[in-house]
This record gives sequence, C-alpha cells and structure tokens, in this order.
Amino acid sequence: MSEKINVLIKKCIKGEQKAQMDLYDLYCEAMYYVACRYLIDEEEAKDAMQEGFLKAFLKLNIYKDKVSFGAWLKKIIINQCIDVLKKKKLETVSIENQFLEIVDEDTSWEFNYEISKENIVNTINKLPEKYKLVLQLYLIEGYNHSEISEITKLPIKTSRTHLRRGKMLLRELLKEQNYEAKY
Amino acid sequence: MKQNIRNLFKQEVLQKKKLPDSHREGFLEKLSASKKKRKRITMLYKYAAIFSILFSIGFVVTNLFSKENNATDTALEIQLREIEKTYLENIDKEWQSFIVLTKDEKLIKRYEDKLGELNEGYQEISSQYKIDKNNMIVIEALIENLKTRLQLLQDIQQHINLLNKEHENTTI
Repeated sequence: MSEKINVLIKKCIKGEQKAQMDLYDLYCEAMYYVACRYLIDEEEAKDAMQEGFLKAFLKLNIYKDKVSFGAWLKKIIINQCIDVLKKKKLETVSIENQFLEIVDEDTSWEFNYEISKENIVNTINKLPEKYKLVLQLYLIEGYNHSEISEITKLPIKTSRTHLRRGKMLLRELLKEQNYEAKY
Repeated sequence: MKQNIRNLFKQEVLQKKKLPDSHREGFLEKLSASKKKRKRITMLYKYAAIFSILFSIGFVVTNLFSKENNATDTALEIQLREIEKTYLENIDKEWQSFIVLTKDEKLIKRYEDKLGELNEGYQEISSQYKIDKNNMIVIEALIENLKTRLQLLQDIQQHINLLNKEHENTTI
C-alpha cells in the first residue's frame, strides 16, 4: 500500500494528472469525512477538501514519510477547513479572559462508561465553535497542544483554556443527556 | 464505571463519507484551472525576468554610451576652448595694433560698436551651447562668430595699411 502511494506521490510531483486523480480517489472520502467534522455545510466541506488536495499537490515535494501520507494530508485538510471557519469570523477568546480563569485541575478524561463514542462526537458538535474546534483537534484527531496551536494559530495558553472549558461543557451536556435518558 | 474517552478515539481508523456524484469532475476542473494559473504565473515570472534582463542590458549599454558621449564632449569642449582662446588672443592683438595704427576716433568707435555687437551675439550663442552641448550648429555658430570678428579686424587693418600706403605715396 505505502509503496503504491510513494510511486503515486513521485508521479504527482512530476505533475502527472492521472496520478493526482488516483491519489484523490484513494483519500477523498476519508478526507471528506474529516472536513465534515469541521464544516457543517457539506458543499463547503467538499470544497475545502478539494482545495486542501490542490494545496497538498503543491507541497508534495516537502512531504517526508516520517508520518503517514494520510496524516500529513489530514493536517492540510483541517488547516483548510480552519481557514474557511476563520473567514466566517471564528469567535476567539480575548487574552484578558485568560487571567480571570480559575485554574481547573481536572486533567482527567474519565467519563461515565455508558457514554458512547457517537454520543460524544454529537455532543461536541453542539458546543460553541471555539471549544468544538479544540476538542476535535485534541480528542478526535489526537493532536497535542503545540500542534493545535500551530493549526489554529492560537497561543498554547488559549488553546489549553478552550480545551478545559470545552471539556467542562461536554461533561455537563453529557450528564444532562444521561439524566434525561434515564428519566 | 468510568472510561477514558481519549482511548475511545485512539484507535480511530480513517472513516469515509460518500461524496456527491459529480465531485470528481469538479475536482478535475479545479486541478486543471490551478495548473493553468500556475503556468500563467510562471510565464509571468519568465516575462518579468526577460524584461529585467533587457532593462539591465539597456541600462548598462546606455551608461557606457553616455560615458563615451561625456568623453567626446570633454574632448570637443577642450578643442572649442582652445579655438576660442586663440581667436580671442588674435582678436585682441589685432585690436591693439588697429588702435596704434589709426588715430581716427570715429572709426575706432564704429568698429568698437560692431565688435561689441558681435561679442553680445557670441555670449548668446555661448549660453545656448551650455544647454545643448552636442548641437553642432551652435558650435559652428560660435566659431563663425569668432572668425567674423577676427576677419573684421584683419580687414580694417588691411584697409588702414592700404590707406597709410596711399597717404605715404601721396606725400612722396
């Protein structure tokens, strides 16, 4: 599989359109799935995904196989989605607010066992954009704080704050849902 | 019972989502458009490079030529200054000898006026020459002016000499 992709990548760098389309065919559905996590509008998500592919083709010569091609591509697609979100004026927390924050010592991600993965994803989607974004990047994509800061262009402190608040909100919402389901 | 929800997502395999039917055609179009755009940009860069090379060549060449021009200018200037100097010296010499020869003050006055006019004309052409140093017509006019002055003085001198001779002859 990876050998096939490496050959395709080399052909793409040479600018062979067929290879570019083959690479697109291999990854487009997975990348579309990723884009849809960030952009609710499916048409917008499709466009962002395709733009991401075009950017990736331009950057292919700097791709090093330290990470899998899928992970590398995913980061570009997510960046593209975030650019779209930013154009729509993504709400960001002002710096002053950071200092008013009471440091929350809750570093655990232990949640009730009954909560399903699907439930978590759906609840994250209901959160305000800024919390949703950082939670998705941290929890679902598995990026660390410095990677999140690099993708969102937010200071690490801010992204940590967003994550903490997002987790609190997620916990509360899940508790409510659990409560409602039980009664 | 508790669970770490981070573990839930750790084994995340790339999930897929079906795209709308015409997505491939749309992408192919975008791909071709981006290639054309890049081609246009590279062409633009090429043109810009060619233009800047031509411009620098032009700049160097004109610089060289203007330097040459400057060199010829100075040579011409030196030459002109020498001509001017010799003429003015000669004019002055002729004028002095004319004054010595003739005692006719009216004649001196007449020629003085004439030479003054010629001198004014010369100054005028000089200022034109300062503006346009490469104009051969101006330079020729300058030399012509000097020549006329000298010629004028030589003519009077000849005339006076002739008069003097005639005077001597008649007295003899």
